[in-house]
Amino acid sequence: MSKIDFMPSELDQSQQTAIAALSAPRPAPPRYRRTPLTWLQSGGLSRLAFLIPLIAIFGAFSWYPIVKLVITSLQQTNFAAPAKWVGLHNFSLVIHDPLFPIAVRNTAEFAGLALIFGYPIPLVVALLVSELRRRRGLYAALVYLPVVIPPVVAVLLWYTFYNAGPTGVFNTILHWLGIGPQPWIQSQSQAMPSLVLESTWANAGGTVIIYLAALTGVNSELYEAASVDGAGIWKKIWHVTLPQLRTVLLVTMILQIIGTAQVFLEPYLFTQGGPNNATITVLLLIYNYAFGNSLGPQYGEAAALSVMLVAFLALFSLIYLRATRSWSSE
Amino acid sequence: MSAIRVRRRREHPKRVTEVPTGGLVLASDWRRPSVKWGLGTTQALLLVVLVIIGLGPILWLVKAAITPTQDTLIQPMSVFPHGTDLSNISNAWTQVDIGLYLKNTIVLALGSWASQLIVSTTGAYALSVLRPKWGSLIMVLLLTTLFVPPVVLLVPLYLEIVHPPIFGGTLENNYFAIWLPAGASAFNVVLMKRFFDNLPREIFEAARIDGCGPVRLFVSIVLPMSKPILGVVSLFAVLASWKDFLWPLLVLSNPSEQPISVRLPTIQSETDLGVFLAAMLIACIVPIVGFLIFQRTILRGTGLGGALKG
Amino acid sequence: MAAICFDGVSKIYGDGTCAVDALDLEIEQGEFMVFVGPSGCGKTTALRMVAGLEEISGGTITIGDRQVNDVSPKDRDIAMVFQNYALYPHMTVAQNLAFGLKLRNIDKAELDRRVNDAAAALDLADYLHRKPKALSGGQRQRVALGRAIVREPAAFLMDEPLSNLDAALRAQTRAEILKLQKRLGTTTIYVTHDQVEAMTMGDRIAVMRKGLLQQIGTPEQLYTRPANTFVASFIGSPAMNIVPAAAVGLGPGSLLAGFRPEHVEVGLIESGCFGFDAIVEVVEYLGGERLAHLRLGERSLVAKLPVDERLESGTTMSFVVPHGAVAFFDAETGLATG
Repeated sequence: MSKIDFMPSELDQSQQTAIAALSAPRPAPPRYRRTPLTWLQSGGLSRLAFLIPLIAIFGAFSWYPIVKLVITSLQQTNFAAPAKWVGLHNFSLVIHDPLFPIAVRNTAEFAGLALIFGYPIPLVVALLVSELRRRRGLYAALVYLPVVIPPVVAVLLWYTFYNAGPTGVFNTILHWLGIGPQPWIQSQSQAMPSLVLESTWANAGGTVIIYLAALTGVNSELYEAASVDGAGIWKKIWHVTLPQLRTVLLVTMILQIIGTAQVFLEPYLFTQGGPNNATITVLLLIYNYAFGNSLGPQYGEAAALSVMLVAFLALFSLIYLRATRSWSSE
Repeated sequence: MSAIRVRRRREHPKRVTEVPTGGLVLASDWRRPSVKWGLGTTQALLLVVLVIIGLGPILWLVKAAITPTQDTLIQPMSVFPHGTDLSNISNAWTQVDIGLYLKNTIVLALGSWASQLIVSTTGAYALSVLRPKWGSLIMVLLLTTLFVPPVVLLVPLYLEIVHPPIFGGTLENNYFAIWLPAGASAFNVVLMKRFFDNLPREIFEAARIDGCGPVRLFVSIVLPMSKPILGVVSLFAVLASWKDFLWPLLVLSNPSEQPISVRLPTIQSETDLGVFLAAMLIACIVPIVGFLIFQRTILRGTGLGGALKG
Repeated sequence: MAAICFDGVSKIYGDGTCAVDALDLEIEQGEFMVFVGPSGCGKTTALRMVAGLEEISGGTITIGDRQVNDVSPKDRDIAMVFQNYALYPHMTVAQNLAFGLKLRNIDKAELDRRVNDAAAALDLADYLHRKPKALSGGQRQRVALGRAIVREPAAFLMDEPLSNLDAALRAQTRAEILKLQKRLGTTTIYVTHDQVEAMTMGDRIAVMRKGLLQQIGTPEQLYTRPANTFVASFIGSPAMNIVPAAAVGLGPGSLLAGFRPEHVEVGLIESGCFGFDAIVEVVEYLGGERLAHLRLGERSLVAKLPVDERLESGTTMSFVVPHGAVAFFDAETGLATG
């Protein structure tokens, strides 16, 4: 019955070699040798060369200024004499400046108002646009157009709109609605909201696009499952859309707060901080310290206030992230 | 016998841009009358609102630029009560010399664009493909700069420009004071690096075996494969430069060197309304036309940056 | 002189993992050598060390008469075919083929000749102006091969080039690669995880496992004379039956007995055979033969039986295996014994 004539009692050469190798004790693992020569051969020079632009530019214009900022905040700088170390004196000057609490309050007001207008409205718009079956590009383009306009143009254009006389553009429109002319940016109470209005016009489009991208990224199977389970549109929004958008919503909020806390252009061009300091913000204060002071530049205070702003925003972000960690899907 | 002419129905593929809807409202939902009419009209209303709010101010600007100043002052919302007047635009060109500022803006934009591209492509290439030992340290340093609001660095940057620490002299009123710092955008580098990270490593290995050195690999393989991201970064670089205001304001005190955005407030106070508005319109044209042409890339790029998880 | 020689080659990563452990191997000029083994066995790492894509931690690799440890990939005179083809997406087929030659400053006439020859040999002449994204998987594979051919290197290194193709295309391309290699006579190292591919293609096969070379030999040697239980069960499908010798009355418990499914027959013990009774669990019909899955005590065995053999699942039947078909292994080390 044996069709095959093996000779199991004799190992052939291939087996013998293998068995010898497998039974032999393993040699000690080699040590990895790295010398300057191997670095050079593996292209270390080109690695360095390609990083030179990045390191040079960032070093000079990003990392060095950060360090210099902190140093300047601790010094008294003017160009006549060499800088003098004054410790925390600049910080104390800033805190005791009567404009400081006003600027902080105004900045908070701006950020708060901007959040109220500029955060939920884009979401609603994005929701409506995301469910469009045609011409979505048209909506997106219209919404984003104000963002493309250079901010200076936007502000100055709205400055014209806000002309307080009866022939101002907005006042003319109000006249059609039977409302009397408004002082807009010339009034202490209306100035800040006017600024917020223009800022929202100019920036909300970007937020809409971000939401739109996030919305179209939601897995449509979730909606289908919800519909099969019997959910109507509102329920779907509440139980599917918003949870899926959690991360984007949270990140957009913090980014918006950080962005609006640094508002400068609007108060600078619209009102120069007026009327009567109603619109002076932290950034405008910093600018005035450094460049707008008739008594000479106070770089120390400007730097100190900048450091305080960064520190505050960093702290705020940390607290924010900590507090929302349980809500964001990680 | 008549030849039977078989007319082949030429199928024109309908240009249906298959834009995926959000999926919230299913086809079955749309069939319900409350949804069809409620949502439908809301969306239509939204379009009207968007046209008025989004397009309105710009259309007004266009109208005002070619309307005599008097009409704009007295009847701002009426359309050409006394006909058009193109002299605003010609005046903007000659009187205010808008052409010069336009040129300045373009030169500044090109330089900033080049600076950003050079820094981000070479840096991202090194970090992603060449991978030096201390690459992660550099990444950390880059990411920390993302957390520092750029406006805050204006004061030290200004001091640095006016009194460069090692080299002496001054960079004030020098376009390099704008171009060089423009390259320090950690966002660009991160974006590029992410893109390079997603390129298949096998292609680099094949190129190495074929004989590519690091420079050849960069120029002949990586860059040509990166056209999409280069387009996005370029567009945003040019756009950002066009919109830039505060930094050029601080650094370029010589009026003949200033870009349009810095000049506009001065123009506003020095010339009459009509000419000023015409100048504003001219300042807008490049961004608007650029946006209309590159809409899709710009919108996709913005969404990409923001559509994090889900 | 060997075309490619591994001498105690090791690859150790920074965290201490050993991907290749002191590999000793000689590949003859013109030989088609296959590295085969389960994933993670080190076969691809070994290949990449020959290519110069991985640094060698210890030992030396020699190509021809030159040690290449510190030589960069482009100077090693090797060409590689990648699993995912790695074609340059922004270049046409012709440019892909010509790229390596252009970098070496090969003159235009020679370059054109090589590109056209390769295109003709691989049936790509009509696609020279297309970009990779306009090609099918099989065509892309051929371009990848072409890129290696035009270089006229001392050795081809192929990293699982067929694993992304569907089964039919794979079989066809396998034959084409072999024909090409025989015609060109270029030394080739071919890495695969598929033992069928290894068996059908290799002049010799190197079986690897966890960084260690298990056995190297011709397909027949590996099939009929496995050096240990791993090679015995890895090569051949369905796998060799390996049971303690005691379970079938062949020897002490310190030995394992291995026999291939095709050597199992139905019947009673005769001289020259040993036998056992087993329960027939599942019978698979393969057309030309049948696979019977048997149960002997706690062990599962497989037998390849003729179609007309009467088999009923659930019944116990008697099987025999000729003594000559049994290989013995040490139960502790797994190594083959006499």
